[in-house]
Amino acid sequence: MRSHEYQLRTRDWTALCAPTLLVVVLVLVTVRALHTTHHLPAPPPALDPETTLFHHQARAARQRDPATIVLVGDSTALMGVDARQLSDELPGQPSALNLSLIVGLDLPTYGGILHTFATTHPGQVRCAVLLVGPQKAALGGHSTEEIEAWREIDAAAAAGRDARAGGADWLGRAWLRDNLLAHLLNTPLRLNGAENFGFASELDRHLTEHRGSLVDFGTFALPRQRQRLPFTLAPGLEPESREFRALVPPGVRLCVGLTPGARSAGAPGDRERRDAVLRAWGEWLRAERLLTNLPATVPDAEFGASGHLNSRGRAHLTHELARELAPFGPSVGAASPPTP
Amino acid sequence: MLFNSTDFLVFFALFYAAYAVVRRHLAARNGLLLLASYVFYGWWDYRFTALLLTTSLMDFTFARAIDGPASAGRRRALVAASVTLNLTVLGLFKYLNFFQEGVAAVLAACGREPHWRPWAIILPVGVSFYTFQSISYVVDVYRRQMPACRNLPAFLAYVAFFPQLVAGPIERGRHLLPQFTRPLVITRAGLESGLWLILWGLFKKVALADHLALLVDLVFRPATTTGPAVILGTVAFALQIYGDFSGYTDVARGVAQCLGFELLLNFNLPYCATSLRDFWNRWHISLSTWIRDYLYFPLGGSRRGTGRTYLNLAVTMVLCGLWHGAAFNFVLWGAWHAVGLMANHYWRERWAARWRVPAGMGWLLTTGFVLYGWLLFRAQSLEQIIALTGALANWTPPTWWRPFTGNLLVLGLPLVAMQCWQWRTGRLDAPLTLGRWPRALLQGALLVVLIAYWTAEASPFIYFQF
Repeated sequence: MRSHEYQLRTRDWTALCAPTLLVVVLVLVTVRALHTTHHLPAPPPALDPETTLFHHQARAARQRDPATIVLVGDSTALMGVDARQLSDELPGQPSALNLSLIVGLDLPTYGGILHTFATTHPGQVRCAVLLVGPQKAALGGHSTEEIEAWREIDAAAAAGRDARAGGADWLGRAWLRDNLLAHLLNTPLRLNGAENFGFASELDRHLTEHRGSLVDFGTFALPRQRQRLPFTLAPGLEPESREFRALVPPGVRLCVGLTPGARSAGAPGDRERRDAVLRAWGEWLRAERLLTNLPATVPDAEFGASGHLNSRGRAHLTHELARELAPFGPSVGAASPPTP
Repeated sequence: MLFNSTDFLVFFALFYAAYAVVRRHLAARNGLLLLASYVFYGWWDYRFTALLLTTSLMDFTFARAIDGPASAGRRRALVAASVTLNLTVLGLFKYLNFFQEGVAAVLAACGREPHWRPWAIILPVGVSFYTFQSISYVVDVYRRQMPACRNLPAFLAYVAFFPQLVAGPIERGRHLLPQFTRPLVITRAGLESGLWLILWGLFKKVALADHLALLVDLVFRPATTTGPAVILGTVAFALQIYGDFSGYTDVARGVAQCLGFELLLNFNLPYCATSLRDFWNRWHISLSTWIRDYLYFPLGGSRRGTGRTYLNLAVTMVLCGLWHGAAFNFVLWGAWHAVGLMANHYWRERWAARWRVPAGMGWLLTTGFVLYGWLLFRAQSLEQIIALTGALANWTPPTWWRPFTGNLLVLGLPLVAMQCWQWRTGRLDAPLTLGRWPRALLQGALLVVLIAYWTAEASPFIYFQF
């Protein structure tokens, strides 16, 4: 028995498919032409929290900005200091910008972003503040993948392009997705930061509005097996520190400090141990000022869910930092540098 | 194999070429369909094909025996045996773990430890769908609504028919089975409609539902504590599950149409429903009619008094919820709809004649009711249901409500616009009424977006887990 018959001819197939395929080809060719002639819009921030942060900070380091105080460091500095509040609390309200990144990067990378900002704004920066968490100082170390990711984004920003541009397949799918359709759809964040900001665009906007500073909105949860705060200095940081110093432009005063740990993880003598770490590190960095008046520990209630300071803790640390930097005077840099 | 995977595109291209070759031989067509369907199904796990083959052979044999010159008692015993075996298979693979966990929880509440370890049972994809399809066939034969199939390859191909094997529509033997035993005609109109359904279905899944899923994931997590977030997330899920499931169904129907087959309609503008009863006539139609014909009516339907009607509705809808998955939230979802249908029934009996609810008001009430049902459906635990319901009292908008709403509008607009178009024209194939070039523009735009978002790692359809 016959199975099935086709009551249509070849030209029916053509009439069915050709017009639609023609539209598709025209769109793809147009997108390719726009890319070739650099007329495609830049992709919006549509990535995970870390990459969104990298894109923002790489861009911020190169944009016109009146900052005379630049903060660099790991995520404890990123989320532990409010750049706006710092400006407001310093005499004369000098502009401050937070260019901190994450713990997985090394000190030369922190120095590199400071150097980029200082080079883009010659003679403007008076004071650089390097802050890292006690864990970073004690363990050192970095992630090669994260450094590679940062370098790629930083190099693309330096060349005035987006790191995601150019990596499209023969259909130009990435251009369609990232340069065009991503403008219609915000990308929701996953993992950490998702509940706070929801979307990459919101995280980017928050960073811009808060001059590079972030905040942990969560509530501190005491870990079951809490380790004592490691107030030691990793020997591996010495060459990194010297490299960092080489990237600090002449005339910029370098202030160095450690962000506080949770009080429940503290022990008697923490402050002395922390100061000893700072003194040794300050020598490697040839720092103009050691931020020894910052608290070594703060109450647990000042920490958020991710182990970073919450808004209350951030306000506290920023206030203490402003008190530390106040001796620099209204113009930050007008006064002679205090000796460590 | 997933419809939204490159594997499937290659598979279907090769299959379609071979399908054209066998057009002169019915037996060869059924053989090819059978082979392709088992390859399609075995792509997940080849061991599942053994289960599929076993249940198919079992029901083929039972139906033959039931259709023979047996006594009424023997026929009744045979159909009972077939249904029991089918439900045993389903229960073993789908509900045993649920049952074990439930017993363990009860023991734990009594301060005792269960002395067994839960079995690691993998749920075969689509087992609920093809089991129900097989049951309906045997019962239809028993009811003398159709003769037993005597062509084994045709029957095996019918049960395993790859376009609808894993997530429906749940076909009836008397509708689909005859199509395996007679010549089919593939027309230009059929192909046109089939290709449109495939394109629109894939667009709904890949471009809309998969992006809506990211929004939904943002809300259905423990950190969600505000009412606007819950509402936005639930609306997003309502659109996601519709895009996902109706997308799958559209592709299934489209693929079948390209082969000359006709599958049952599964969705008929469900979110245009103006009552809960209306909703169930439009949502997952093949399941709701199955439950009506093989469960609700045999229980007595609405013919045995008011109390019995409510009881039948409750039993039917709770089992409908349980069919979706072995979890309490599905049972709650079923119970929620049972309550809604009872209220709907009560209203129709007592008040509908005196006071007619305006269609807009009916739509609003129905949509609100269905949306809360989706919250129950999507939640992962009783604690989450309580937390999300409690959050509805807190009217602080989440910090991300603007981009969320923006995304929701962008992703919801194509679905809503299409439904409005279909509703206004009264045609589900409204886009096919467009002229050649407007249609080419519409199809081209959908295809471009589909190309942009097509990924190597296809995300599974929600209903595959059922």
